[in-house]
Amino acid sequence: MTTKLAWRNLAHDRVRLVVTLVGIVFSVVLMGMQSGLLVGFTRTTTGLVDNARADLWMVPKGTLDVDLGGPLDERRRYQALAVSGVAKAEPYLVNFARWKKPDGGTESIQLVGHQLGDVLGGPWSLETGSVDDLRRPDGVIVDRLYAAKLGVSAVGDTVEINGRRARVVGFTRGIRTFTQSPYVFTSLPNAREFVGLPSTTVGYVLLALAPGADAAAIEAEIEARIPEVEVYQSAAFAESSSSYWLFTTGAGFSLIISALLGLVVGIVIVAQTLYASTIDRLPEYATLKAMGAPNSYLYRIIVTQAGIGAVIGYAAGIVIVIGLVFASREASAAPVLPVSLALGLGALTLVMCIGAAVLSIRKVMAIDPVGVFR
Amino acid sequence: MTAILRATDIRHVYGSGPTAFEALRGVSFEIQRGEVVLLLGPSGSGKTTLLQVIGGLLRPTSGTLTLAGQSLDGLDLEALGRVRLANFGFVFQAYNLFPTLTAAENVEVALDLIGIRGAPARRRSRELLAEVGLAEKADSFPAHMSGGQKQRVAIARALAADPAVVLADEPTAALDSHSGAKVVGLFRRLADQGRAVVIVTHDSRILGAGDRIVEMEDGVVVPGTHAAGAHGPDAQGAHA
Ligand SMILES: Nc1ncnc2c1ncn2[C@@H]1O[C@H](COP(=O)(O)OP(=O)(O)OP(=O)(O)O)[C@@H](O)[C@H]1O
Ligand SMILES: [Mg+2]
Repeated sequence: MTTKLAWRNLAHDRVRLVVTLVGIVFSVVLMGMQSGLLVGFTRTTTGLVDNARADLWMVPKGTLDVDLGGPLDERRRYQALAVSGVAKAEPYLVNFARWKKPDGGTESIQLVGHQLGDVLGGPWSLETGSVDDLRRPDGVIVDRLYAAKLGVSAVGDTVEINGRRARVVGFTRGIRTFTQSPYVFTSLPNAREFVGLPSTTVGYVLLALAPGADAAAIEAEIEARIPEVEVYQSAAFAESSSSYWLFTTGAGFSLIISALLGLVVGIVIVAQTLYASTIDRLPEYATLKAMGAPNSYLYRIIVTQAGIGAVIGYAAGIVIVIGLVFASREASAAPVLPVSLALGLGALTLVMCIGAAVLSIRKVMAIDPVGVFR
Repeated sequence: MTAILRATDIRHVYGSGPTAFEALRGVSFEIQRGEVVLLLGPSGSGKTTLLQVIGGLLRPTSGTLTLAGQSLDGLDLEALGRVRLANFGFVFQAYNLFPTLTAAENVEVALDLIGIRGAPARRRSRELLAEVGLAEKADSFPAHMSGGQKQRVAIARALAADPAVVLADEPTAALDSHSGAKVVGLFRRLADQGRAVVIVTHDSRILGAGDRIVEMEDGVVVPGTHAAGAHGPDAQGAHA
């Protein structure tokens, strides 16, 4: 009966119902898109690290972000290999460079060089071409998302990187960059050539550990042996990279603020319409109280009203979010909606609506049933 | 015969300090099953206040209240709520029906409160509406009913828990004489079924319907009216 009453109370005033639902949908979409972008950006900023398959990253001391790594002497690699438990230590390079399009314009790129023939580092999600084609002294692989920006469209297109001729030998799909300087993959020797670094210089050393090795102990041991470097476990470096971009640039902060704004707008609208519909029913609620209904009975009506609004609003909102996520999958800043985020959003919507019911609950709690006889 | 409801030396003071107002100044009142008592008196004489006290809605400043021999003094609000739910039916001048629920559903809310739900509730609500002569209006919304019909729905709702005492405040004030007479006839029948009925009224048209008239003035019962008497000779006359 409380559910029926709640639904009738909601449905009774169509305009108010629409306002309530629009408010909830707006809130769900805003929260969903902003947090989806946050997740998308986080994945973008950690893409290189997450897909390098390294257990540990040896980085120049003070490095916070994978996109901004300083040079490292390749000898560090052999020092790391001497530590027991380290199975592999591979050089890796990430460096900004200037890309000259075939038609003449220039773009800034992030050149990523890895050791060919090795499992650590290198491009993933390959769509056309093969990593082996990077053996060509001028071979590079770019992402399809940035093909237009980089002025290339097919394997065989030639461009210039820092004034040297380069040739597109393959495309990846869906590898975004947060800095808007697209990642361009090539071999380590090619990368050194393009950037003009000596053959003894690397950017990072990617480490793979022997099965059962103690990552934390090895991390500590390398840091103790080689004071010039820091060692991160892969997840920690990913975390450091994403918080560097999201929080030192303010991008993450503004996304979180917008998501919170959505929450606040939702709470305000739902609280207001729910309160108005509660005020409309005060004499009836007072009557129920006079008849002997416990307060909990009245709360149930109001909370159910809020819950119904949450369920309908969330269902409509999440469909819109999924549509927007789908529509922007090719954009350079793409929101992502993992299942956990969708579920979290649902829970948050419910909490939001029920939180918005507090005002109304306080109102019915204060009803004096004596008031029905006047 | 023992009284189903007995109020003894009830005093009630609204507010405190210089604005305090003593609305009931030592009222004693009792009623038995089968009786319809009309509570009369000028505006402000304390009728509603007395009804609130005997209905367990308002705790008096002093005095004692017993229901079927059990004292209600000192019960907390929750316990009083349970007492009301099980023993009292309330009827108001403004009906106070949920406009978004049909007649039957309004009755079902009251049944829901005492734990009767689903098919039994639907069956029972229709029986109660039939009892007040509204079987054919079960699926109508209050907006599509006359005042008298709404008041009868409210009475059906008040009967959901089969209460021993029915309390009504100005139940006919908003009704035309024909509807008012029907409602009063219903109250008469409720009393004949063994309930005690107290009606606060200004409505001279229904004076004949009571077994007893209790008149109030300035917070006391006017001497000579039958605040405690059982069926008196004149009341018996009205019964006919
Ligand atoms: N909540 C309150 N606070 C202060 N005074 C009140 C309150 N309720 C009633 N009173 C006062 O108590 C007195 C009795 O009120 P009550 O409502 O019982 O009168 P009544 O006989 O029912 O009058 P009416 O016929 O107008 O309904 C009145 O003077 C009224 O102003
Ligand atoms: Mg009154």
